Amino acid sequence: MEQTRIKLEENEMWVRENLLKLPETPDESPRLIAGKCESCGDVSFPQKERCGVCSCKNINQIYLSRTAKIYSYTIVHRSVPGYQLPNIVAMLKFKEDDSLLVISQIKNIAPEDVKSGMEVELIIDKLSDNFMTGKKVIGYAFQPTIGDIIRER
Amino acid sequence: MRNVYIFGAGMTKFGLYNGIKLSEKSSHELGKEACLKAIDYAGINHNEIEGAFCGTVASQPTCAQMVLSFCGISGIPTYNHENGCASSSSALKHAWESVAHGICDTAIVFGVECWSHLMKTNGAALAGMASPPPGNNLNQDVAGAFGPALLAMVGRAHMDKYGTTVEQFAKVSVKNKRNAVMNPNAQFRKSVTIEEVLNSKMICDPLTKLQCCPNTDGAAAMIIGTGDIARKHTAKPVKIEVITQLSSPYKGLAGDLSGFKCFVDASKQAYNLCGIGPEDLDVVEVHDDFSILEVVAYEDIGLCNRGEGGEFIDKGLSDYGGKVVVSPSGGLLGKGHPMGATGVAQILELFWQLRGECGERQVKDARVGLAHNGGGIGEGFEPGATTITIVSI
Repeated sequence: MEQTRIKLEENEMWVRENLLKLPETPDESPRLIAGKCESCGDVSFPQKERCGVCSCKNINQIYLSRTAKIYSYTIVHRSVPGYQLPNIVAMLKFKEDDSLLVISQIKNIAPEDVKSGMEVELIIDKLSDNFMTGKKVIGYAFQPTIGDIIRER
Repeated sequence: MRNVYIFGAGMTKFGLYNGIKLSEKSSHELGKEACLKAIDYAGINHNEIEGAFCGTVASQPTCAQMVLSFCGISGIPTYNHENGCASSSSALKHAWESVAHGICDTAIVFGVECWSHLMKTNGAALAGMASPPPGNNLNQDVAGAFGPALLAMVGRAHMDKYGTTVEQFAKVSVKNKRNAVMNPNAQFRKSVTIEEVLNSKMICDPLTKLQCCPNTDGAAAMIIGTGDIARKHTAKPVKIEVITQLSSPYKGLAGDLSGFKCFVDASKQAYNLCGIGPEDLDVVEVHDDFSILEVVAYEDIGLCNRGEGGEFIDKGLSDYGGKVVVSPSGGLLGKGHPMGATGVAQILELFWQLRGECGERQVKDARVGLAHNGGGIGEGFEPGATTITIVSI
């Protein structure tokens, strides 16, 4: 199972630029790029230009933990074109800031095994097929950290 | 500020108009039908109207002007509002402020949507999946079907935190679709059982198809004006007590997805501004685009305490004979959800309820009503536009 990928193929595109810190050495793992307000500490993803809490202009770039916890989730059975179904979608929480919610697909797990509170880790994976360009959309997704629950769907 | 009253109302039957089921109609023809009905209902001459305010999402630019040209209305200040599914309630807020502040004395406010043909072409046949092309919304691009997926996650957060059940969510569909049977303007006029709701096709677990609003075309219009003008045309004008409109606050309830801070804040502001509280409400129309949102709305607008929404529907407190009748029109689930028309259509139901014109779905002695309308997605995964309207008679 491919865990990290850095160079995109010809028929692939990033879901967005500047969301991911890609690993530079084999020991590193990919991370989400977030903003942390210098004065109040609020963490934003995607990174904001101004703090949404205190209007501070000084937002420092940080990398969120590779692991997060599933706060809530759904199994999507019907979607817009281009997504593999059923698709597990979750709202994640990170230890950096309890008020921050990040939405993501959960990969490599059977739908019936997903639970609220489950720990997951960041991977780079295919999110969808872009029906306008025909390209595979690559971006961040998460998978369970517990080894024996990980499986190919 | 001057008091502002509603004294004319008209709407099309909600349904699928673009050659799918009913006769082929355009947004202009639907808008014209609703506007002319409202003008005739008010008994006003169309050249007495001094301002026009339209809400629409997927129509062509300057939709209002196109619609009104068919009605003989031109040469007046005219505005088109886009605020997702809260577009026409936002237009009404603009119109209400204009009359209240003396900018005009009489205004027409309407919402129109004729978009079901678009859903056929982009492949997503469920209104909640109304979606921009890839590249326009990060959450959409990550999650796919974003609207229903988000509300499903709100529902699961509510279940995890408060023990709310899928049956309680399903009961919203049973109630609202039953109410729609009594509404001649509703898209669906067939009641469903809780088993049928729960056993219908799964869309985004735990949301089944019968808990998701349909694709709908339609239009709704009203005439508003000062007290002097309104009373010239009717003995029973309906007063707009207050309209509040907010974008969602940053991070909503700070990482708690089991409620919507935008609705909490907008309803609190509304109650404070007009001195009416949730205990005074007789009839409420909520934005039940997905069943889960109605349960959460009971709590957000203060009909019950946080976490008690499931119990509220279980005990029939949002039904006839309960504490306050919610979505007597059939709501978005039963009446249908033509996005730009929904906000005005909700308030038309309150108008007719307060005037006692609702026939078999009439809420007895209704004096005060509230409409809860949300559109799009904003900060904190909450509706990008939230509108709360309180009316009285």
